[in-house]
Amino acid sequence: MANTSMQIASPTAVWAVRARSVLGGLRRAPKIPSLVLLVFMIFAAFGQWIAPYSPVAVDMAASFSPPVWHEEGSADHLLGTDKLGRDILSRLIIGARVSLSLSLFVIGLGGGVGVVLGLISGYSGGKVDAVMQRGIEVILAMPTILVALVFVFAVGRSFESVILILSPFLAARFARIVRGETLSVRERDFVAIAKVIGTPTWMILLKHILPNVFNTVIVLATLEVGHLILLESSLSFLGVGVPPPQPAWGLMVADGREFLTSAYWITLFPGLCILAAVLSLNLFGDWLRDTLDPRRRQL
Amino acid sequence: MLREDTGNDLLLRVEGLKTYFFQRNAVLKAVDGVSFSVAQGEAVGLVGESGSGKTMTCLSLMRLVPQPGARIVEGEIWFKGDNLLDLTEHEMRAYRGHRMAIVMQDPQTSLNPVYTVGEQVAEPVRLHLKERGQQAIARVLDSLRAVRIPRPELRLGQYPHQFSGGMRQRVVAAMGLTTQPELLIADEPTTSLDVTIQAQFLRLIRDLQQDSGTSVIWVTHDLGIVAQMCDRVNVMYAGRIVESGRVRQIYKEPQHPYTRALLDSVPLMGARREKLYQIEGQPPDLRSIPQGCPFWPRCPEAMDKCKEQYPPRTSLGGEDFVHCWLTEEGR
Amino acid sequence: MVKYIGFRLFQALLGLWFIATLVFILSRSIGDPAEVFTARNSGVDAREIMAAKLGLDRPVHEQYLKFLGQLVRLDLGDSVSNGIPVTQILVERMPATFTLGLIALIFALVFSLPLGILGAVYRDTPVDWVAKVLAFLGQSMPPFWLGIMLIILFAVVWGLLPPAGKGEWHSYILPGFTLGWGVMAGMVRLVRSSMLDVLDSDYVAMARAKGLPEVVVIGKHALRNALLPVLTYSSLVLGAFMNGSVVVEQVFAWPGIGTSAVQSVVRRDFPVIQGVVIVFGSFFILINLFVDIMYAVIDPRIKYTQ
Repeated sequence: MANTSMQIASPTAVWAVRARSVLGGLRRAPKIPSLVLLVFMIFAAFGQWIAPYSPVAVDMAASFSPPVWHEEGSADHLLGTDKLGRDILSRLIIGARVSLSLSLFVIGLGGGVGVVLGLISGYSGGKVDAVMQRGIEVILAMPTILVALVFVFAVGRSFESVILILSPFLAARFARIVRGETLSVRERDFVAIAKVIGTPTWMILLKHILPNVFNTVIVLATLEVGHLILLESSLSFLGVGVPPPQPAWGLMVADGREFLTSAYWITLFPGLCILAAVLSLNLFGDWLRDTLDPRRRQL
Repeated sequence: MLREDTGNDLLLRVEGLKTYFFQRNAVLKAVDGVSFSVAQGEAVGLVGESGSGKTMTCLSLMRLVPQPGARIVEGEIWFKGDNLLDLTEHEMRAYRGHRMAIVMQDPQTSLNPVYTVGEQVAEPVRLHLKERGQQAIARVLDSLRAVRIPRPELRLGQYPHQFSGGMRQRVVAAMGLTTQPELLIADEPTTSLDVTIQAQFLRLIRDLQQDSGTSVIWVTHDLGIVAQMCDRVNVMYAGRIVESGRVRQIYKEPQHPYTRALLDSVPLMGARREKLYQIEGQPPDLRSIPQGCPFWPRCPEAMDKCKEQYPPRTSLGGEDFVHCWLTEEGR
Repeated sequence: MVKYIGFRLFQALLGLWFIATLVFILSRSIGDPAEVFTARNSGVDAREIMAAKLGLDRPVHEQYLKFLGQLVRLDLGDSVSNGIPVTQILVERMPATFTLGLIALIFALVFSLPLGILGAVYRDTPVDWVAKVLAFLGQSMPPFWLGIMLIILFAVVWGLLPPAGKGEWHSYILPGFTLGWGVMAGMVRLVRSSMLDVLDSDYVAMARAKGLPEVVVIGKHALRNALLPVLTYSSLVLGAFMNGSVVVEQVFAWPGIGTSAVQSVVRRDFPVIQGVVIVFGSFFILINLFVDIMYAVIDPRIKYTQ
């Protein structure tokens, strides 16, 4: 029962349909994940005005105060404080910025490069494609964390080095998926027509192929932000991520490990934040995939 | 070869079969009240464009509609004395692959790539005929020989990817015929084959049918094949049979405009025609079948009445009938 | 078949050589090798001794050959923080990492295969929902945090299991579970989706049309095909295990190679991290070799096309 007329829709029509479906469709997005993501985005953007304290303000007098619902807890620190008396809630709010901004940088850099590589690889085919695929497989197979350890050993620990080390992995993931999509779009009629009338290759890629792989890229980006947050927090936890005193969630979990028995809240809440953010991204991405393109269940 | 008298010794009788797809916010009426019958040894065609419900009708006969999603909601399928829809799943399994078999459209995908051809042909033998060991192998070899696969002893141990498309389709046929079923459903088995291979395969099945007296349901969109292979033909459109008759009769005097359009689009051997006719428009979207006769938007002779009400069954003598206002009003 | 395996073996050797070369380039590019291979506060003579040992006065290609020669003799130098030969450290620590990985793998397989298969077969039923929820949770939960929460519950609150370290059999439970958990989630998804694809296929429909009982249709015709993509992804799964073992060993103070890797970064101990990379790299290549051979055994199409 495939509708053949759908497959030869012109690129402009594709954009128009997409714009309408996005506006209409967002209303049906899963409520809770969307809300969680919105809250984290607001934290990331306006954190310094929302957080009750500075995330790095040390207050030794208030160290290890428990969350407000404990007897010794106080409303001054809703989620308690760590060993230096820093407010956990404020650190979580500012921590959202570290995780999200880092992920977005990596998506922008690695994802961008990956999309371009995927388009080229899928469209050109042949030897170019084979060589690029080998390279992508090698990168995909590498254990990210181990490579990151070695990399940080070599160049030192910083926000930028985390971006630099995670980007190639992301580029490889994007390139692989975009290549697959490009391979199938390449065979469609409107590409053949464009080729026949002598449209330059870059123009075909930009005007005909890119719009048709766009859905996939959006879905992939959503899912990958979640994956990146997990990776980044793991690196922070191991002490090779974003350096202190920046309040990264993974680092906060590591900070609390010494005090598991006495102050569980230092580890519990940052972990919950990671879980909530990543779970929401996965659920949202899953919904997005089913809505935009029910064919691709493998992503 | 052709039976003139098909009233007696019925093998299969389908009454008011309805198979629907239930989607989140729509019901697709893939098969919507289909009735037809097949006599023993008879070859019956089921003809229509893709999406007309032919394949779903066949899967319904074997009670193998896609799960979850599709369901047989109404009707009766009488196979000799039993209504298949009343059987338990366990009883039904004794029919599948034993008393009825199917050959599917695409030989590339209908054999399991990880088992040898011999193993796959042997399965129904072991399951239904309870033969094992040398006895089963001998029977498998016989079936492979029957479908004229050269050097079957060697081919037995090979995997599907080592066979060509035409050979694979023969293997599938062997798989179905090895238990000598009473009914063979051939679901567009030649669509993906080259023309010459196609002719060989058709001849093969016709010979086997004549030798064994198996009834065959030919599903196809190609009226040329029907002319070669079938005694009767049922034309399907949007989940319903719109015309049914003996092949000769239908070729001579098609009643339904859709049947006529189908006939006009076939390059018949020997017939000289200026140009092939193409049916305008698309088959209807099953989610929104037009009211009245579903063919009216594409019908060159549509009248106001066609848009309002589905035409009743007009008998054309014997078992032949048509659903069309033109014929109904004409008498 | 023999030709195929030979070809893969050759590829594996090539991969090992590639890793060794990468490590060599790294060791010569992150700073003065004499300093990289000596402890931070060691004196000038220590550095000169090291320079002589590495042959730094010789041309680069001779240094490279020397490095390869040492590698073949399994000489990876001494740790700069405690002077123990790296090979000895790795050999001592390897069993801990591999047993943990094996336990995690068994755990992941035991849960993911049935869940993925049943989720696909009984689609949109409670089994499927459980599979989906587990998959989502597993993919979204940071492994280090899961480990810590398990320690709090099972060791601190209930006192049932040891909080860290390697000891008797019950000390394997928490780290094994934590490591297997994340991998399990990905596998459930993979098995489920690959099974769904296979269940839609014509040959499964044909198997049903032969009258085979559902158990045979699923167990014989569908399963074997559904496992092929799972095998294809096993190199990614392996990567996930390596990532995981670094993190999980750190959480549970597990005396394995992952812990060495993290410590060596903190202590700037290049010989150790170099050894870890070589061990993980070789292991990775060997497993892939094994998987490729398995693949050829399961899928008859491979033998003839290569």
